Amino acid sequence: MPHDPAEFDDFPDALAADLGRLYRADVTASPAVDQAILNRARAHVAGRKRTLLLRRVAGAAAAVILITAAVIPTISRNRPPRAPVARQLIYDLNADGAVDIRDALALQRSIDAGRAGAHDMNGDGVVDKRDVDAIAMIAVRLDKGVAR
Amino acid sequence: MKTFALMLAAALLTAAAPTEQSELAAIAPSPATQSVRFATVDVRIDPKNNPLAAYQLEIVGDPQRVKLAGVEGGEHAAFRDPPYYDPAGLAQNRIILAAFNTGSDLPTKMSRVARLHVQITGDADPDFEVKLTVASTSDGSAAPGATASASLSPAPAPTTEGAVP
Repeated sequence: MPHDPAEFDDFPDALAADLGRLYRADVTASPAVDQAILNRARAHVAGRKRTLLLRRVAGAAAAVILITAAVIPTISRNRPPRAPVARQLIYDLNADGAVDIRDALALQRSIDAGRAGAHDMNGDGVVDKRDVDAIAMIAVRLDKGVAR
Repeated sequence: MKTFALMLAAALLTAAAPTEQSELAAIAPSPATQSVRFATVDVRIDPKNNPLAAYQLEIVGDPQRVKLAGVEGGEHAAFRDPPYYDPAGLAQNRIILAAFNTGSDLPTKMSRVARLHVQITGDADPDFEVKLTVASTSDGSAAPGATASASLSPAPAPTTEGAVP
């Protein structure tokens, strides 16, 4: 319980001096203890700073994720599909912009002439009638829209 | 407000539906009462004196009346095998056919290149829309002026065998 120094004003000076000597405690801390206390205080402050930094990084990451989640679907919707176009280019042997039976005819003629090249359409390691069939089946597919 | 409008529209539609249905039933026979038959459709190409080495065409029939049931090859030796087609086209009214031949015996005059088997609903003969997208010679160049058509095969002549004289 704290004492109000003024409450001893009424005491005689000699008594007050005696009481002061009786209850006064000279506390001296070694430099090592001082340093230890200082280190603990610094560690505590550093820990709070680290927590604050982690919170800020987590907040920024959450913001980036939210923005990405909102923006990517929009970009995907507006961008034409890339894979089908790439596949179309592979099958478009005569490079006229459309995959049709003429591409199958061209590959069959190349096979017959012994210069099929690298047109392994089905990826089975050989260029043969099955690759011709693969192109022809692409040409007659109904889900590609109206045939050109 | 939107919910109320939707409920009102649903109520109006429900109230109107029986009348509309009964009117339709009065003017058109239901599918159950319409006749269903099977027929064949000849698909012909006239390459206009050019040797036809490859063709690709699209055939579309009335979706209410025509369903494809099968595909077979043509009459000329070069296209006797069934053409390429998407099996998903069976039981639909639209199909893309394509075939090629690298041989030297190729049709130069009009010939049947394929035959379709179709299921027809109703008594009248349906029309077929044909779009010829490829008609080419052996080197892949277009056969100028080539045309294509599709029509119901002529009914086979009635046989007299076993008929009462």
